Amino acid sequence: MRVVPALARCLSWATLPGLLVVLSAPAAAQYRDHRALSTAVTELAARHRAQASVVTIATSPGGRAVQALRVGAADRPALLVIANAHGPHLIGSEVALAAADRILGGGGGDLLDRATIWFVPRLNPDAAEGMFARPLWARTGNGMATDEDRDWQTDEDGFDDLNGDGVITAMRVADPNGAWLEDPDEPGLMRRADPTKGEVGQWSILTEGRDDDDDGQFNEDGPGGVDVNRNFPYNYAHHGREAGRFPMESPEARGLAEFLIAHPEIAAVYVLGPQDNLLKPWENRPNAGIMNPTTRERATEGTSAGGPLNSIVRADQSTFTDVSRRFQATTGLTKGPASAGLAGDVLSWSYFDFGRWAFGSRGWWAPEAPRDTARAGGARPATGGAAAADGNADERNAIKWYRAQGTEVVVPWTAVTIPGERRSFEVGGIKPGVLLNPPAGAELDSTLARQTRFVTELAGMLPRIAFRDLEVTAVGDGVWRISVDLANEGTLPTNTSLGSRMRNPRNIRLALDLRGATLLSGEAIQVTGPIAGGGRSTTMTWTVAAARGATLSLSAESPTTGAVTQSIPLR
Amino acid sequence: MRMHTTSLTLAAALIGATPLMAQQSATPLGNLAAAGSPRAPKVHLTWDRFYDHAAIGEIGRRLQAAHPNTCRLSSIGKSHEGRDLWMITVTDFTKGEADRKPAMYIDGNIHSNEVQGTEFSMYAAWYLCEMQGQNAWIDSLLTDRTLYIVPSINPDGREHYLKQANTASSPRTGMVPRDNDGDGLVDEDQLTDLNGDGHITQMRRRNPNGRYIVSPEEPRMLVQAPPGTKGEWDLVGSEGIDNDGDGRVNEDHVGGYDPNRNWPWRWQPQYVQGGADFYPTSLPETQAVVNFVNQRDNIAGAQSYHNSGGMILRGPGSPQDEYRPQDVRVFDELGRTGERILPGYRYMVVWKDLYIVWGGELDWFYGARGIVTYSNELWTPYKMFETSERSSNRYDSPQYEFDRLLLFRDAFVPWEPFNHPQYGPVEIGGFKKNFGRTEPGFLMQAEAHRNMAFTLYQTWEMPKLSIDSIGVRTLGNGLTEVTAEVSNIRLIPTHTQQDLENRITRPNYISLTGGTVISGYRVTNTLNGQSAEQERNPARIEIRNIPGRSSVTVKWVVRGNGPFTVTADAAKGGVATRRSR
Repeated sequence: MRVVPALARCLSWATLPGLLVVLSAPAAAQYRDHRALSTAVTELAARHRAQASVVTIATSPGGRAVQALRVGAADRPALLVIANAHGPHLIGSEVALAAADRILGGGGGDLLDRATIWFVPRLNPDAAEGMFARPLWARTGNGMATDEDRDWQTDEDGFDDLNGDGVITAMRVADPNGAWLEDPDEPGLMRRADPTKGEVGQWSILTEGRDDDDDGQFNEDGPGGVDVNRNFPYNYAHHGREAGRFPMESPEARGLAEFLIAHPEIAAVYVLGPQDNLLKPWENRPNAGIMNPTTRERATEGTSAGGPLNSIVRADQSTFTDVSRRFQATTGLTKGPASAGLAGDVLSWSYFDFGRWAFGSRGWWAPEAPRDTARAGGARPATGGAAAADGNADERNAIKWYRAQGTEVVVPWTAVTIPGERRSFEVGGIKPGVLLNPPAGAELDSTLARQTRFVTELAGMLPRIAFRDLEVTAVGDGVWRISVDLANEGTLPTNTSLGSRMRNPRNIRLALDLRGATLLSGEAIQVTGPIAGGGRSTTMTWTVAAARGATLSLSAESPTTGAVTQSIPLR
Repeated sequence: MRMHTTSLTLAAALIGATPLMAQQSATPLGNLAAAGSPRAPKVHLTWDRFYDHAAIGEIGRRLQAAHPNTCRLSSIGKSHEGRDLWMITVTDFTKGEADRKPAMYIDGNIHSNEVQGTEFSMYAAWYLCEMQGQNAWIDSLLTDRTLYIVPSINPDGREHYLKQANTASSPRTGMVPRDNDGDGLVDEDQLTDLNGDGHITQMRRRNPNGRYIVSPEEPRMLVQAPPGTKGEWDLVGSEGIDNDGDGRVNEDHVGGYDPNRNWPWRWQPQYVQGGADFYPTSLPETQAVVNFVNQRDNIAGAQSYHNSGGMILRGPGSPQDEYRPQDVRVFDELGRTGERILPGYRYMVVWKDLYIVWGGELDWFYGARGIVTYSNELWTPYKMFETSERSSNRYDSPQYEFDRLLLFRDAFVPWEPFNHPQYGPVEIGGFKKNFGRTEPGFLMQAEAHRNMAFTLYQTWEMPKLSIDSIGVRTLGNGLTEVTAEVSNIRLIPTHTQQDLENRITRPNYISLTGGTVISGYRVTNTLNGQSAEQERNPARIEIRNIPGRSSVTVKWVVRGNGPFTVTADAAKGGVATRRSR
């Protein structure tokens, strides 16, 4: 299995699945670093000046502008697409840009007549640059100097490309006290030994690099930073790794929040990243509020005494389920890796702290690999038993799928020498980013097409209100009973039930302009909602005293639903 | 000039620089300073009024000018409306480096209406400056401690409270405009001084079926009609009208959040914690304090003054949080002494004894920074008649009696008729904003002093390192063993357990110079001479914590004969140095 370093370098560079900015072939879809992406966003907006514009919502600690691209008229009910909060997740940025490009090119039909779509294609540009650096590494932290290992020094021990292949992968060391074994089905992967089955670990797992500060730990405090996708306040990990010193410390997360405050018309967000709720929609789960130590009763979660919400509120569940079903129908994606945890990430924050309809998808993952006929017979089954429980199933499948495309994404374990180290280290394992980003070519192109369809569909589901069924009844001499339905002709409810509770986003304001009439019942100004989608409505009634022939005026508006008016002639 | 300072009627109105200027030139009359008071104060201040933003800056400048080696004025940031968040740093600047001494952080007025924390914290700055050089304890305190005093971390709200018509409870929020009622309009239905008397008081309306009657004992006070009898009045809320025509009164006053629910420790959104605002540190004032404190690892203690109720509060604010038992013992000891210093005050835990708070300031100080932090709720009705009785036999509230007997009715606006656009004929009257939550003038200095005394006691008990002994023993072969015993001579540990468990501030460093260090050790058992070697960087032994009133011993094997110098350096406990003989 030993490969000379030169060969390893040759292998890995030749087979890197399109993760690099290639100088040729500008027409084909490919991954872009910050400079190329920013230029593309700016040029796209310039080509569609009437319908698009770009604003900077934050500047990263590394000095990179976080852009937001508006597609469609300002101040309409809007969808926001957020990508690349997780640095190595480059596919999200490309999906965002492709969707913007195609919708601006007319691919959304009449969508832009009623909806606006905002795109933040790269929320964590400092981290994403790791995928374009040499050596290439899966960087998640931004450019803020931090003390990740809490040794009161910052950025003192980063990765080193010991095997010289231009990529940072894993490193293992033979260790009689180690917890790891080689994956029998895929030697490039390691799995935990299971002592209850009599297994004894043989390896310790590290990341590729030296112990630069001689503290016995390897690469524990590299360049950067705060992981923007761990820095949002919902379920924030205080004192957690790469979480920042406090929630919203990163200018990127803070900039996004201020952007949402300034754009209350954003009714829904679509987040491309490791957190998913479209393959498996979020559900309301039994109350897990804080237990009173005396009464042993749990207070209701989502209240002062009960503490944070641990799952969505029940009233919002049917919408999450419905959108998940539509996503699967539109994209054909029904199975895939489980969602990453919800802790300080932008997806869960968008719903739990900002009340938005929030949907998340990885965008891409390796399709199911063809059955392994070459190893049939002697080989173990790829699933079942210990193999399924070891957590490597997704990686094994991805590696096989890439091989079926003629691409090797595993760096073979290669001995490296580290000066001053007596132990023998081996560098190898799966390359960074290959589980997240499809290779350039047909797989990337089909991903962009599939995701654009869903972005367009989701933007078409935004709430839209209308008045219906006005009834004016003469109750008696100069007394009128007015009844009207306020309907939501969009698909998404006018607000999440949770947003309604926290007034973010706010509900619909109804104002009855009495024009001199006297109000006898009902409210001249009131706030109502949420109203479910698909033409569901709520009935409003008033009684007024006014002369026959008078005309009142009724208006309803909220940023997420638009504004409508209704003239009410009394006759 | 003295006439102004004794007029309580003018206490709230005469804010600003005028009374300050007037007193500047006066030298104190009288011959003998009372015990515990400055003998010859250079800056003359009166502690029976509330100072506006301009006056806070002016006081800071005067203190700095009069005491340049003790007091310095700076700004830690700007408020939403662009006011400086003034900070007065107090220490003996001629000795040591201010930012390396163990520091006490003090602020006040986070809630706009809770104004006297500003005066109380400025009193501490003034008192320390004026007492330095005449009191050995104060001199010692300022030699090795620093106080960062931010009199108001909410100067916008303070200015509104002082200069606009308000109640004792308005505004609590800062001045960032917010839509409180979710109707898309911002601050559109505020409290309104209907009768133009400069006060927001209460409205009452006659109603033959009302719930209230005029108290037979106290004609200014309404009491509930006795069971089985009809009342004559309804209380219909604070002075105001329906400004926006939505049928509701005063539902969207200025601001619309609680600055003390905006801190980045266990922050929760609006549906869990009312007033949280959009996200932790969304407010510029919160952000300024967080950034300042994050840059000062030497802050070991903190106090944030609120009102009211007579409490010495510690966290946690939420039942989900927990203070470490080792730390609770320290909090308890300080808190119990605080109850002695502050008669009428009770030492309490926020969530258990008061109410649940998510994202509160004191929890951020402790949770994120491991700082021993209290919040004193200033002013308690106990002070009125120095009794815990909330009501006497004769009155439902002793406030009226106190106002009558001690303030000569200065705190109350008599009921006057007013024709309300929505409610019809009403009467407007009630207590003024400067009564009920703040000390009356004649008690302010006493209470400021007691609260300062508690805070100075805490400041004193912050960690202080001492190198008790250095032992030198010849090992032969040109080697010498140097042993040093280093103690923390005060109550508070160099690292709270919260700090230790989360690795917030660096370990204590005990270093040796004067020879070539071959190896270094922590002595784990001084009786039996057991030691643990520190392999890396042996000249600088790392000690994770030195608890209060305890010591550690370290030793080195050194080539050389000395003399040796041992330096002990704690982030929150200062630096101590000693030379061997």
